[in-house]
Amino acid sequence: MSMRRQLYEWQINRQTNGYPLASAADGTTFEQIAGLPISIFTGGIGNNITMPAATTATQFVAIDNMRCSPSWFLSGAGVMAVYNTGAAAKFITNGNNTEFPIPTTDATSSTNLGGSFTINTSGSFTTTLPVPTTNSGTGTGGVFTLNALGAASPNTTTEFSIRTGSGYAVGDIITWNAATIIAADGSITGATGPQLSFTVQASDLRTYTNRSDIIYTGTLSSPIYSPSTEYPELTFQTTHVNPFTSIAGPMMFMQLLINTTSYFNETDGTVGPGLPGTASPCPEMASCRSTFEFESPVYILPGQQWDVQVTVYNDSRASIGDSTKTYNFTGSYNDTTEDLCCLVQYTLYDGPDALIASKLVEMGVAVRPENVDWYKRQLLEGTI
Amino acid sequence: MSARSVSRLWLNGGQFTTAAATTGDYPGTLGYITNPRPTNITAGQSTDTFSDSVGPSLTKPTATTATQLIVIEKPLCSLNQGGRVKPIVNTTAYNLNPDGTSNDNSAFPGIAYPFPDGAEVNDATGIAAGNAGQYVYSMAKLNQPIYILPGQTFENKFIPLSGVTGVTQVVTVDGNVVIPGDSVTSFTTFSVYDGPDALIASKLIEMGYPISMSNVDWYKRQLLSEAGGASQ
Repeated sequence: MSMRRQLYEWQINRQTNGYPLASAADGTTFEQIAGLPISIFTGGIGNNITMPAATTATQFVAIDNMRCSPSWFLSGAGVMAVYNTGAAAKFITNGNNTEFPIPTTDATSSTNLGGSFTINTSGSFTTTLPVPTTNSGTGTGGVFTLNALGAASPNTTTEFSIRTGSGYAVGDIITWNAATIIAADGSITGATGPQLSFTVQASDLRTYTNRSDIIYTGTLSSPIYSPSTEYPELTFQTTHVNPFTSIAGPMMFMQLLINTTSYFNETDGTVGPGLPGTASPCPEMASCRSTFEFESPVYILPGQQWDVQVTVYNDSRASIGDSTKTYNFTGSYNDTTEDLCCLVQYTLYDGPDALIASKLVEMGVAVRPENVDWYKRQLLEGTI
Repeated sequence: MSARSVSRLWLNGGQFTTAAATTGDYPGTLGYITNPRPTNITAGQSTDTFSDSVGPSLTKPTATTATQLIVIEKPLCSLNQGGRVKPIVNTTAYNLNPDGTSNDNSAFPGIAYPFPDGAEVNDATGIAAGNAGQYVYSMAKLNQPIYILPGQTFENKFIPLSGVTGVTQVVTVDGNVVIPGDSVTSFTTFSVYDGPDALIASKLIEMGYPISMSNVDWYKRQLLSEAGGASQ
């Protein structure tokens, strides 16, 4: 005799026993599950249980709540805002990728490179400078190159270029000790002055210009968008944006089956995929709250079998359209995993409580723990 | 005999075709498809979110049978593109302007009934998407739910006040580029009462009570009590 509120959690990036997958190769791809109902109990994907869910002759189950991964339906401008926000975060000073203009060089000038520092070497050369000795700003990751063009020693026509890096601002002063520079390149035999000093100018930095389109690979009908050095990961809230559908998230539905009957039917009598996760989200968050609740619990009577099936319609992995990437894939370009989940909350009535629950159903009273307790009180008072 | 809480999700996602990739006019489908492409909708064009030529459609328009009664609880839709929904029962549209007129603007706007509940204003404007603190929440359920009585027809029209642009894919000097489209959606929650429960629901309307599953259960208990059964 008992009443217990229970919860079953399913996630796609799990082993059968519920522990995280050991590697991305063990995961599931969108192509494997697209548009196909998957049982969260015995579907063979994610964590599963040993047998289909069923009540015994002395059990009664009331489904209280069902949740699954939400999706957001974005405007085209919203998708581009996601893209441009991500691209701007990857902003590269004088970067050498296709997204941005070619690297520019900054010819030596007294206002930029420290005028008191000259390279003592003959002939032209190019050398990549070591990590700066000091940096008055917050920029990181810059690759600084010296191009000495003159044939004489000391060189007086030196170019200085910056590639990659981010966070540099106009006025930042970056310095290298002479000894450090000399140690970095054997062709530099000496220097005049204590240090090389470089002051970042506006011309060294570029302003990121928002794009109005997104470059993709693949075919017209099967396009692929993958994060890379040039292109940002398209993240929005807890999920990824598919730029071809303008949907962020898996567009996931969940259907409840009792024996062979689906609970969520369409109004034309057909069986649809069920309740969308956007209406009953997991996790519930500020940007997506639940808008659906069972006004009355759904009952699984003694001896019935039940199941919850989820269906996914939108590719929301970090790499959209790439059939080689699983939901568990992580890469070097901030490709993060995509988690699909489903929660079912139910109350299990066992023994005499299951009998009372069945009696309440006959009476047209909602089966809830407080009503079961009410019925017990009525029995004790002898009013039933 | 049953009472069920069910729902209907619609979006402007259509089937990919090579021709549509340049025009943005993706044909509607019967049921949901994978990776649906946002399709064009002109400003003011109304689309029945149950059965129409845009997005996923059912096999026939929605109508209750002689033994069914439907209660529409929340007509939600996108904030994007001035989205709004107008429920129509038989030929009567909800809701009306104070002067009794009905036009596209007098529908239920997504700004009051957004989907998802918590949609960002910035989703629509494209400014600082993901910016916390810009979430829009739904007003409460309709004070007076919309009843679809036995034998009535029902349409739920999605109407954007601004044009909805479909996704397009073109080849440029940069390579293949996609110009993302506007994804708009509508979500309707409703309860379906069937058989004796529909009769009880109709009885509740006559009695002046709002239809809810708890009120239907209450009525059943009254019947049982009168018959000498449960006292509560």
